[in-house]
Amino acid sequence: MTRYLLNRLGQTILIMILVSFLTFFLVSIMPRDPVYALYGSTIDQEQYEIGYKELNLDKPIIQRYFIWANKALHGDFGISYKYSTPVTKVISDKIGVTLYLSIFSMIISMPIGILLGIITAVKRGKWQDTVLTLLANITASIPSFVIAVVLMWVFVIKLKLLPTSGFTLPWVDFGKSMKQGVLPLVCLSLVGIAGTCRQTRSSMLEAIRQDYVRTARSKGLKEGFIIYKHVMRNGLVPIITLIGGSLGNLIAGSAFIENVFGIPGMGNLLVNSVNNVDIPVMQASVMLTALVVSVAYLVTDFLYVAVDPRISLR
Amino acid sequence: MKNTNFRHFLKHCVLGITIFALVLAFAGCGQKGSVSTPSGTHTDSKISGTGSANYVEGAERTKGGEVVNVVTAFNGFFAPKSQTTAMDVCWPALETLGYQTADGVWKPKLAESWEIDSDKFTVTLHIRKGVKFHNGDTFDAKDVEWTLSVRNTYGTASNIGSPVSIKATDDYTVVVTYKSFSLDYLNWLLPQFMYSKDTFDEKGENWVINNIVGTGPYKMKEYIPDDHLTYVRADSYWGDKTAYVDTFTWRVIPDTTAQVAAFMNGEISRLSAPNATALKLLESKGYKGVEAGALAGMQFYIMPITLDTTSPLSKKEVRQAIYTYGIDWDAMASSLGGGTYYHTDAYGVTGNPYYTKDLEFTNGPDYAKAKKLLADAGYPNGFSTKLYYGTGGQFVGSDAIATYAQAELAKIGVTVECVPLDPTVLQNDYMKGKVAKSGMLIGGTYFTPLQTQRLNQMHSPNGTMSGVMTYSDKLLELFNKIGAAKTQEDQNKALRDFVVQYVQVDSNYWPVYNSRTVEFYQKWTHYSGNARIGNAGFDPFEIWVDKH
Repeated sequence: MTRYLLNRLGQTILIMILVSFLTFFLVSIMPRDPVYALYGSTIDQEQYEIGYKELNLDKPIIQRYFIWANKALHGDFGISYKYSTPVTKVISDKIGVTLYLSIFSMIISMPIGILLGIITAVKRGKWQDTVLTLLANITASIPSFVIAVVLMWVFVIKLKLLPTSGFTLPWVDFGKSMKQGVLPLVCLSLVGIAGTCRQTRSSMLEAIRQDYVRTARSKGLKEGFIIYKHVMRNGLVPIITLIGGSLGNLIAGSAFIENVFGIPGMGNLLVNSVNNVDIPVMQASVMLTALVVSVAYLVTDFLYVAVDPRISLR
Repeated sequence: MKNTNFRHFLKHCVLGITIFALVLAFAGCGQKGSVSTPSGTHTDSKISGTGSANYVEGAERTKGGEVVNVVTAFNGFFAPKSQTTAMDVCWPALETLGYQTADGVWKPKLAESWEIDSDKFTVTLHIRKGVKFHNGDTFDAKDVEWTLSVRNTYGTASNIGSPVSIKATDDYTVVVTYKSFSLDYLNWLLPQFMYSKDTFDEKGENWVINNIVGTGPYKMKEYIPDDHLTYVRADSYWGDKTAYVDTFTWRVIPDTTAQVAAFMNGEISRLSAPNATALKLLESKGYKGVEAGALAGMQFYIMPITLDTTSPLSKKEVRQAIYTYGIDWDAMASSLGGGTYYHTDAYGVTGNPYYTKDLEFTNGPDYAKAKKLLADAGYPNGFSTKLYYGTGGQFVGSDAIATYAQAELAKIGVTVECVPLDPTVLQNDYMKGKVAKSGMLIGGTYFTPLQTQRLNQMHSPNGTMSGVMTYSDKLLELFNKIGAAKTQEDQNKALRDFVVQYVQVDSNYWPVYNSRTVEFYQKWTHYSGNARIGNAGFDPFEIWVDKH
């Protein structure tokens, strides 16, 4: 167990190093000039030269990488070009918003998606299965930002029930928070529900076909007991992968939705940092996303073991 | 058995689709209800009204309420080194040295008066006494000296005419010295927003960029980056006037569709139509757009790159064939922008001081004449060239222009390869002639009352775009006359002469279309001046909202 953990931690560190170098390298070859991004394109040549040296652009890329990595290891990701504040502060201001949205939508989508998936599997071939599977397929096929615009048209412009955008934390103003949060959460959750429902259905159907289920039925056990005791326990193992993937999407998974609904979160920050050539923010955001994904999959591995004793970490 | 299963499957499909259609139909059946807006000032069906800047001369102006504006993002910093942001969102809190009326006359604001010594090339600014910043600090000459100096030392000196010195000679006098005479002294200096030196010294740059301490009738209440910016009335305002609106708010809505939805939902008070589709939609819903002044538009243009003297585009006849006769510009403007775009044959936009109708001379394309000009220049079968354009930022829409121009030029035998580029690459490498030595490029420029400054920055022999072309002696002679003009009238005439040579004779530049800035106001929001005043944003004293 300890060995496995150390092994995985080593892998995670290696991944982080690779991601950091790739990100640094790719950002460096972007056809955008960071000096202009920082100082504006109206600066004269003299100021340009100063900025060029200030950003270490006169040094080789490897040297620049090590300068950056050394600072990053000490928690200094630099100063944002756009906000002129430390990157760590910029990110800490935004990450709470995104985590709130992502976790809340997971809390909504996972149980509902699993429940609907079980219903569709148990009622396979019946009208409940047809309706739910059709809806899940349609929802999963439509990009979330399209769903966002459609929902906005219906609930904001036609029904005039909700505001278009903005974000307020519930402990600041609960009513406002709920009104502003409904549409983004519905958009994020719908996609999550559809995906989870489809995955649960196929996993459950796979489990239902197993010999031990047939045996249980031939023994005369009640259908509800069989579903709960034998099908669900085995059928839900692959769902953990889905949950792990969703955890990995905590940071950047809501970028489109944040953009449409004007929510100042990490997704929005990442998109803006690319648009504004805010390289320090870009690098730190990618690193954070990579870290969260790595940790999410590590957690997934442990959950597998916890749920299914047949799986060993060795 | 198989047939039964198939029938069941079909039955379920039909049932599912029917239910889905019913769900959609139910959701789409809109019913008008009440809306609680963030401002909390209006709650009824605004969408059915005819929102407009329904200002009536002499109408009663009510005190109170909130004006909610929208921006795609807060760009730049709240600091003297970036005054663009100040013009867009800081005008309730920051003030300029002077302001310009619609007829171009400069009026005093933080500068009480000024004198120009055309022999010594100096401008003496007399600073208003008794003005205080929102934090209680006194505003005086040192703040003016410092604010202007920051621009000068930050690499943006050209925005204030690159003065050789800025000096506070006493507490309320600042002398700015230039190296030569210009009619633009006031245009450079008076629209500058003034910042507090003491605050900067005490709090530092990192604080200043996120906090606005100005002298204006409103003070900053809250700024949440990427979310909102709020101002409230400053009770300690130095002036004798009181602003009407209680609160000004800017909300960040990055998505333009969401911006339009927010306006139609009554959440924001004022909206600049982000595109032609939005303009048409809002007009179809009964909102009346107001053009935000003739000088607030942007002009897209196509420039030839003529550094390679052997390339076809280095020949004037070829450029004339392409620009004057080879493209139907009016049709392009109409096709691409509907009511928001219009074509002129002049540098700049209609309404510029030097603009006259004489500059309009094309009457539609003449492809036969274009082909003849090409043949006379030695290209009877046409030639191939590249058209570079930016894919974002201020160049949004350039791809459509490129495609349209490509199709038009194919008619006269010119094969155009459209090359998309990152906006900063286009701006910094291609527009400065560092990469391509021939071809064409699409650019875009915002025009302001400072036409000579814009000309100097972009298209003069010393400007950014000079890197892509060679100038004729005649053009240089005409350009020098602009700088030598001693009266505004002479300068306007010199500008006109330069433009005729630059655009119509030499065909060094060709305007594609001008985009109008059309603004929509909710019916309860009023602004008495439709045009922006100089470079100073809006006048916060001229905005009010109905009883709420």
